[in-house]
Amino acid sequence: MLVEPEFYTRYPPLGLLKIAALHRYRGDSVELVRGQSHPLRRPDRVYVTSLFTYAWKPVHRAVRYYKRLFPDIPVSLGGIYASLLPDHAAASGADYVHRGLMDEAEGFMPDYDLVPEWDGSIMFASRGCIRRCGFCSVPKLEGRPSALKYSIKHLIYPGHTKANGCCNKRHHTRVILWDNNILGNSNWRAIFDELEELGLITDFNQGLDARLVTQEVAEKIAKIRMEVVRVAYDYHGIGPAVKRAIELLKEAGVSSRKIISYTIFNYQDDPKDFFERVRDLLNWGAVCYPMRFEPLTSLDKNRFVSPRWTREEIEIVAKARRVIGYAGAFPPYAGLVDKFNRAKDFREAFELRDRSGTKPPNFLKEQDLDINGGTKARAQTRLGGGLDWRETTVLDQEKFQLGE
Amino acid sequence: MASDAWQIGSERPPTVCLCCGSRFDDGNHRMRGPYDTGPYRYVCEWCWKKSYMFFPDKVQHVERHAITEQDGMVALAPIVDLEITKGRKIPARLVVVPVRDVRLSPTNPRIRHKLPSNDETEVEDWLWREEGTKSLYNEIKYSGGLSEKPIIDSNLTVVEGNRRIVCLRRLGDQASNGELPDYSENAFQTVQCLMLPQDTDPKDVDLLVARYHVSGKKEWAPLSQAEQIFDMVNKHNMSRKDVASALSLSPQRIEIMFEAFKATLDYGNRFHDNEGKWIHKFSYFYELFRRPQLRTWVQDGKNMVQFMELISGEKPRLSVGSQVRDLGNIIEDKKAFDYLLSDGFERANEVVRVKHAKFDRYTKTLQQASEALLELTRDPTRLSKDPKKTRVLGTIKERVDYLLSEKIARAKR
Repeated sequence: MLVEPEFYTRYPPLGLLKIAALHRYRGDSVELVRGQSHPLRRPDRVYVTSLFTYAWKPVHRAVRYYKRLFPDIPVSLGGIYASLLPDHAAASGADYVHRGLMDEAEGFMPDYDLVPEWDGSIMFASRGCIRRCGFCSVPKLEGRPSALKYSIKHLIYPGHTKANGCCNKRHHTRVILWDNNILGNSNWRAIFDELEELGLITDFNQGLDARLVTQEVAEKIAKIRMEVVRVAYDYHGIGPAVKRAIELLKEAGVSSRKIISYTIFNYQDDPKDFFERVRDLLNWGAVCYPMRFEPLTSLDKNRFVSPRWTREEIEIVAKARRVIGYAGAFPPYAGLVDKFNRAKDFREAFELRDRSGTKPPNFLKEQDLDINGGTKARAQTRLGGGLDWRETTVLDQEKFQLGE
Repeated sequence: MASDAWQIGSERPPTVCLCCGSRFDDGNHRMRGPYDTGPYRYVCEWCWKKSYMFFPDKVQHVERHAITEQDGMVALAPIVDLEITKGRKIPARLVVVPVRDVRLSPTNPRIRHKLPSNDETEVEDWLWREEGTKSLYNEIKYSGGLSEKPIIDSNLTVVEGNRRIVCLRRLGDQASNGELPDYSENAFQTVQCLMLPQDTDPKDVDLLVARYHVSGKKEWAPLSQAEQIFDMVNKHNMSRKDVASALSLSPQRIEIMFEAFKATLDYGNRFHDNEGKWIHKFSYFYELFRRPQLRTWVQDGKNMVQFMELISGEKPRLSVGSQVRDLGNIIEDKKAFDYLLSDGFERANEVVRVKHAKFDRYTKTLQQASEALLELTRDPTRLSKDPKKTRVLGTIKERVDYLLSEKIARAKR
């Protein structure tokens, strides 16, 4: 039995689906459940997955529940939280805490039959990363680049058709690469060519390393069906590389509204540094998506305030994202760029004036912005000032220990 | 794993905290580590002290034991009498205990039907999310302490004041993290509590809690109140009359709550679900037993079963408790009741509304008067308290007698 605890996630549990494939290959039957429920059959093994460290409570709840339900059955706990904080995970009562990848399952295609409503093939063309960013869990979990693939075609779920006499499970129409730094994979050209040839909607979910974006990379990206291109502007030092990457992408034909830059804050930066990075990105014509740093040992989300920030300053950013931002991001609308260019400091840029009774500025009216894998979110102005978010989206944060 | 993380090619410890990036020093940012199993091999004291950050050496093994009255601390503590009923008091000790040593009660009626488990952190989480807890937190933060002392048993488990302890824990964490500039790091670490003696009768504990939350100023939700009353009658064999007088509540109210909770338990046996959703059907039964007409209706077992069916299933015919308030009118009208069974509440209520719209306003006033009289017959003490009411009743009687005699005379003619 495979258990996905009741934490928030937009993606199916990839690790569990691979374990499912491994067990089916061995001739076992498999059942996937979410949260605490009663399985159809008594299992002889229970696997529980985990995600962020701060989402540990539903994990403990699930382990305790299944230990109570099946006291004699071994319960294994794995996933990101279990790998990062194994001592804490052990307190859940799991019989076995697994750290890192499960080598014997890693090579299997995830068993998407268990999630028939899901329409995207998730894969890794490589593991690990050539960088060692302190805020990221990847160097801790996966280390240096490994498991480099030359081809990913065979990892796309073919689906089923009625003609096969089986069922009508969907053929996947999207490719989601969870590579932490695909451009650090020496085989990236072959992978990009394949993606172009496949013509499927592609999402480099963890972003591209702006320092490795060359003219050749930008041209190849422009040929792939991508709804959003993600980069990151983590500190001033990589500013020139980020600027150049954005320019190259635009020259190659990628719309600037499709270029999103994750911008970390509340880490080793300070409000002034953050303000300058946001301003840079807006001037370069990219969408800035602030990501609040969360320590890798945190058991409670959004509690950490770094020594160079105050809670009040963090709240100012959060409010600005809600009110003058769009779906949590700052798009390079003329009015917003102007506001940031005129601002003398962080507070002037992010603090909001009392607009009650006044008309909202033009740049806040009815804008469509395509920032999240094709999801169109619509901002609607509300008379009397401010934005009313009828639909908002959360960018993909599942893999990083970041964000809010 | 952690040893490879930060230091590829490096052999010496880092000069900055791997979590917050602060330079190590001999003060707040002195180095801690190495940690072989965590994501950060070395961190600073400032990060380590954050209550929400986990490091293996932070696990505290607090040895807890039942504190007896022979313990020096407790024996010297002043006694405060807690009144249970007239003349009966519990001699509680006023003690100061570390907030983190106090255990929250998973049987707290506020949360016992919501909790997925009895784990301390789950209990704390649920209580923190309870309506009003954040206001209480702000009050305590503003005033710097508690105005009312929590009550604990001799095992340091909270009997009364769970939310206050949760707020103090949060404040204590924030103070020690330096997030509350107006308070010292050690603020909110201890709390003054009233500790019940070890041999306190559980019945007295339940009575004490009921006095606070059933008839007192901090009322629980009706479900929690009813459960407490049900326990007092069933567990401690108290008569309903005794419960009523102990809590200074009317016997009718006790009766309604008891019967409604009992019916909810019956419903739970018939329509059990693993998630415990059945208990929240209490509000339906509460509305049912509050209405004399419906109370009489469900005295027939068949009707009670039918009512349970109306509120059960994925799409129940009665989907919110307040709809029961209109059930009386629906059961009086066969056509409306049939619609309730076949189409649901909205359609049935529509039939009743159309019918009632035909009544003239005098009929409506008379109906209201009739209902008021019915209320008075249920609680005649109201009359004795208010002579004006008696006078009005006398006038009504005279006029009703006259009208009826005239009507009869006219009919005879």
